[in-house]
Amino acid sequence: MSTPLLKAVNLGKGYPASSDPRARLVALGRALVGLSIPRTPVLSGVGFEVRRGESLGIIGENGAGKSTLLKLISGVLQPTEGCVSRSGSIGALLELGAGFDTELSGRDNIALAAGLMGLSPGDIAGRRESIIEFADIGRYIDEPVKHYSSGMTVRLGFAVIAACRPDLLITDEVLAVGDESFQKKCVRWIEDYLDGGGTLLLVSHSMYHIQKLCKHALWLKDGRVEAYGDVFDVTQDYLAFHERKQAGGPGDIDAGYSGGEYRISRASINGVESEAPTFLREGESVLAEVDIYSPDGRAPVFGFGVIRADGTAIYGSTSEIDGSRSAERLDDTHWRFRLHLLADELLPGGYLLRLHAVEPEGVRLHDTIVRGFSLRGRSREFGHVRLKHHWGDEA
Amino acid sequence: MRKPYWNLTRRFLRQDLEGRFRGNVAGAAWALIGPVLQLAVFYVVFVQIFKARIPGLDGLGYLGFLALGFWPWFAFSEAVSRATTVIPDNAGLIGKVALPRSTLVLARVLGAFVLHGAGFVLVLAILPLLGVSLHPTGLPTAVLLWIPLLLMATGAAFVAASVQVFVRDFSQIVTHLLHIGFFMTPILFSRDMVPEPLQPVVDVNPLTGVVQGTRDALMGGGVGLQPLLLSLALSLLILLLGVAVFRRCNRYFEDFL
Repeated sequence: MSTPLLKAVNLGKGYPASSDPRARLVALGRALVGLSIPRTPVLSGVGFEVRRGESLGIIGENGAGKSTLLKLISGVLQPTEGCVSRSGSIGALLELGAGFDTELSGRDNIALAAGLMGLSPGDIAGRRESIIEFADIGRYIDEPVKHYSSGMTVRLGFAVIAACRPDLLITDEVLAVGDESFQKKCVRWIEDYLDGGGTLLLVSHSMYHIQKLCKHALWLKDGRVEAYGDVFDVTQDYLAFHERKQAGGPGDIDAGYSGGEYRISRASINGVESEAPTFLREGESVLAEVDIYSPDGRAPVFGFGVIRADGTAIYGSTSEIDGSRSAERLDDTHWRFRLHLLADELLPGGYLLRLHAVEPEGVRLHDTIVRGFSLRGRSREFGHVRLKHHWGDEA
Repeated sequence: MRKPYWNLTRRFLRQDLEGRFRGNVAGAAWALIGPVLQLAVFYVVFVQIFKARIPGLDGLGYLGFLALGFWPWFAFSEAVSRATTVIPDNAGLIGKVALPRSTLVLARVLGAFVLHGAGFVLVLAILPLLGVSLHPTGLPTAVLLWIPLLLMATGAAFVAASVQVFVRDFSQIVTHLLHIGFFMTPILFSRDMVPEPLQPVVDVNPLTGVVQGTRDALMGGGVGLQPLLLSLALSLLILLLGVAVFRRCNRYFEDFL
């Protein structure tokens, strides 16, 4: 295979632990004799590869180190550990108005920004008209950039990048500043660029855009890689993480066994007894095996519920509602239930499976435990479940 | 060196020069008005009021003497003082765009040299019109001496720009250092006028060679090859020192901006 366009190995960045005048003086001394300075890490141990045509999306919460990572990749910042190797030209549109001199006119800034990207004066002159046309900001092109709105600044910045057509395009949420029609223009351009063999490194909070444009994703959490791999796997885990976070933490094994006599004595999901979430591929099903303790030996009722990680209820039923008599008696007081849950109508994402021990009358709920499972897939449909639907004249 | 590097340096140089005159009514004409005014002031103050003389030179001769000392100094001191703050001045750019930062320093140094180099040429054209006799044969030497001058200024600029990032008071210190440097250089006086015990102070100054050399070439009996080579060697040393310091400090700039 060809050499990767971009390769980061054990990348880390720290900022100086202190920057008062004394610390600066000490840092100068240490820099001059070639010693390192004490640092507070903001990013560490980040490694990934981007190959031509395999776009990478970077996701993570605010302050996770995404911008720092982009700056390390684009060479704006120097890593304090590890290294980045690049092969091919890189165009970065990181912040609003980066590389512009606000005193200069838009026309002059085109030359400046394109020059910063390594274009020769001849190339710049040749592409100026197409840049102006793409930016489409009318007479403002001859006004100083300080009079521009943020949208116009982004238009000009993106137009320059578009004209340079770098091998790797690095960008973050700045495009969101443009108006609807310009955003569409940008997305169209990016799609065309990707079709033409371009590669994108995108930071975004929109999983929709990430899934649409990227093949791989990297989830940064507190300066470290939380997950890295297929874009659908990573983004779904990321969304599940947020849903769990909003719901107030994952459902631990419910120690608050609510005083009832019936309780779950053992539970396994697809043969695994741990509390860790289970990962399922699209089309795989869940086999829950649950032993319920019954103090008087009568057959208890087993109930289950599937909820979205944020608590949205999706479906639930019990052995009593379904009229199931499949429970297996283990001994005088223990009964075993086996539940096959076909998850193929669920859309990819993070889910919780609630398992309930219910008294034989099927009325009182005595015990509940929760197990997470994550369904992976490439679907870009919306919502939680797939509803049967058809288009046009199909019956 | 690589072409994009110079393209970028040229771009910043243009930006620097345009920035100085942007919005001015007279614009780039100031580059011509400045030296003429300066020369007029020197004439009035030093020749008419102070009636200052150098042994062996008349009043107008002293004006030429001053001019040949001042313009190289203008270039050097402005290059260093403007380059000192160039990294913090461009913090926004450095924090957003990957670029070789040395181009920013070079652009400021070259900016000062372009302006004052042009001033120097203008002064060389005006002086004979005023009746100051210059030896045309010394012209190549006088021009060549700007090479060591540029190398020295670049070296000093690299050091100053590096230190300024870490020590914010450094620009104040540079102002004073340049002030002291001015009087350590034989600009208002000749080296021979300096009392014996103070002469080493003037002699260690690498600028002394350039200023004296310019005068000897255009007004005196010419310059030998040896002092020229010495100047060049010294300036190369300063440049290398500057580059070494800048290289060491460069990777820390982003941390202290």
